[in-house]
Amino acid sequence: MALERMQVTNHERWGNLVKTWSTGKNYLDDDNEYPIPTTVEEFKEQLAKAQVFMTVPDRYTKVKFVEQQMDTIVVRLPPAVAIADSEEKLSKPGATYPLPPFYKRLFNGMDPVIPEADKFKVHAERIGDYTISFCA
Amino acid sequence: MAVQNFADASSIRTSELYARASAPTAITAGFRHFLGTPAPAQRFRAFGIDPLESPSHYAELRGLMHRLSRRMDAVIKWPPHQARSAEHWENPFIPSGYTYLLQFIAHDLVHSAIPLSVAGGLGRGTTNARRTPLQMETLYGSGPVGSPHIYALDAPSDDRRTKLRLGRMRWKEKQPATGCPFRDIARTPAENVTGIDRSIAGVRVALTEALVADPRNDDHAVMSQLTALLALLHNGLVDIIRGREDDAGPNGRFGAAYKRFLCARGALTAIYHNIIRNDLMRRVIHPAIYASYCGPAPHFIDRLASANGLAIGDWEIPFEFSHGAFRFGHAMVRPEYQINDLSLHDLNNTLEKSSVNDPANMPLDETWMVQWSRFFEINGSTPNFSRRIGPHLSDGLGNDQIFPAFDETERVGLLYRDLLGAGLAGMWSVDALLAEIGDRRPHFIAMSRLLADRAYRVDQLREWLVSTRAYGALTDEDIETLSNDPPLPFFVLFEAMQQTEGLQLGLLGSIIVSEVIFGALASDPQSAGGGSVADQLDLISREFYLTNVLQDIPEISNMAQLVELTTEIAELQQAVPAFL
Repeated sequence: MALERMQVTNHERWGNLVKTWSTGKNYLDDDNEYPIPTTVEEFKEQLAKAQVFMTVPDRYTKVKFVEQQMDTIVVRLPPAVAIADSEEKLSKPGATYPLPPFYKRLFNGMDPVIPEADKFKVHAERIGDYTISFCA
Repeated sequence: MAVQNFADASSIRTSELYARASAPTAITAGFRHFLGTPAPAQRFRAFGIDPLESPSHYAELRGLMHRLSRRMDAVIKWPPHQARSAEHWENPFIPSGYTYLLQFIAHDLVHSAIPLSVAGGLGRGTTNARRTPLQMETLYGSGPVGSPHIYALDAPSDDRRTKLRLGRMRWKEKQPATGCPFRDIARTPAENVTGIDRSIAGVRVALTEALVADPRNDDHAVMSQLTALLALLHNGLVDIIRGREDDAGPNGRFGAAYKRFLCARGALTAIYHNIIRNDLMRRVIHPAIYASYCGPAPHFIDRLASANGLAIGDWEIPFEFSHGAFRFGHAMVRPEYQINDLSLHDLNNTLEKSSVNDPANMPLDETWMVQWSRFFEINGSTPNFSRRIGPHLSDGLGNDQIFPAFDETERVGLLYRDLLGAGLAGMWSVDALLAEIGDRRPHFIAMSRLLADRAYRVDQLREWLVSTRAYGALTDEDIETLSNDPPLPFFVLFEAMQQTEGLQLGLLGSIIVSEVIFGALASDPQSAGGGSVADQLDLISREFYLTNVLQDIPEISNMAQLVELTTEIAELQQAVPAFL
């Protein structure tokens, strides 16, 4: 069975929640408190408060927040099983590399088309990028 | 006769209105109340206040529905399945195609200009324009003469139209010389006097206009694909009829074409009714209630359930159905869909795929071509299953681009709209409705402790409301009012969760849905008897022809058979992308 992934509905709200956790300043523009969650249940409750509407698969039982320091290289290694799952999906003929919907805005409103020949290249590039980026 | 019937029907409604309501009640054209208009004391109240009588308390109502919708954001912990392999939240007895057949039926029963929740009250553009139920007006509009834009030309002179328009799909990476197959609904660009152009200059023209009878049939990709499926079947029926009819001669072509259209429409409508009765309702309705209504002459408790006796165009939908029980379909929507062998799309992408939301990426490409064995059980296929029915919706229905906030609560998503709309409609309270049904059918209510024992019901609701307090931050006062007077759409979901583990509707939801759906079927002379499709097609055919031109159509009792018939008569057995 394919690996269930976290799915974000409202990406801007999710980004603002991350910024809120990171800075302590409320970017959601509401009256709620958003302390950094210590459990998956608290994490989900805050997602609901912020109206992120993120689907969190049941297999998650723990949550870990990593506060990145400017002088420390943080390499977030994805689970090997997740890479294998993606590779298996992408190996199917016609399978496309999924991109979040907001990318379309950056592509001038067109659904981005990743050519069949390039999908593993893009997969590797995206893994590399997200593993070391500050995301800020 | 028709005038007499109209007068009789009106007098029933008028007398019920004055018998029950002490003050004039806001009723919007095309809508009525289930079992008659409730008296003020029988209506839903928030914090003990009737929203219809106190518009000044709307802010409290919005706040309460906002907090209840947030409570419903908490995921339901469903018990595991006994027999069939499925995720714990999935319903292995209702494949996802039925979710969208329900949506199609909703469009065939209700057509309002604006949701009641967004309008903010009755009578502000919320009239129901659908006045003949389940006649596939949502597919056919006003027919080839009244709605020519949705019909394809039959002749270069354009003197007749019989087939529904379809549009070519698109391949993402290639453009075949012979053109892509007609697998999407028809879509077209249009220049705007406002100067607005959503095209991508020099790259792609925006197809902002869906050429369908009902714009809601292009709400999202699965809905437009279901519409295309039904159009393909209609067009195949037209071909079958044309192959069997006599040559009408040059002066009779228009009349012959119109007969052909009416015969095909009648045939498809009969098939549709048979599927609703024998397939869809059997799956979603509680078995005890289904047994009471599925026969040829059910005994309705709502005197106006069947449009029998009403003049054509005088039918009305009960608010308790349109803004109450029938909202259960929203709880069946999945978070993602395996559209075909190659493509899995999440709900957000699926909801975005329409001419309104994404015109520059229309027509739909091959990743959106629905393979119907993924949506119905066909030849042992394992389809996408719908969600179990309960007080929780998929996260994608909280999309803030598609369902943005519209009032001071800043609440986004479909759920809040459902709850608020119910609060504004002046509907029966659950308690009063159960008492009224109990007077007429005591054995229905006696089947369930949740319905029969008020104290137990209040306790069960209270227990659920307090169980996840962090969601919604419901106050003690909120919990008290909601457990004593729950909004109907919420209670119908709660009841399904409690009584059937979300696999079907509970008893109250089943009664309301059965009264309206079976009532609508009973009002159709062809479908009322519930006889075989073959017999009905014979009758329809002989209305227009000397012989049965539909004799080769097999018995169709479920959606799987409809898809198989469409595959055959539209010659899509080897279609790429796969149709079946």
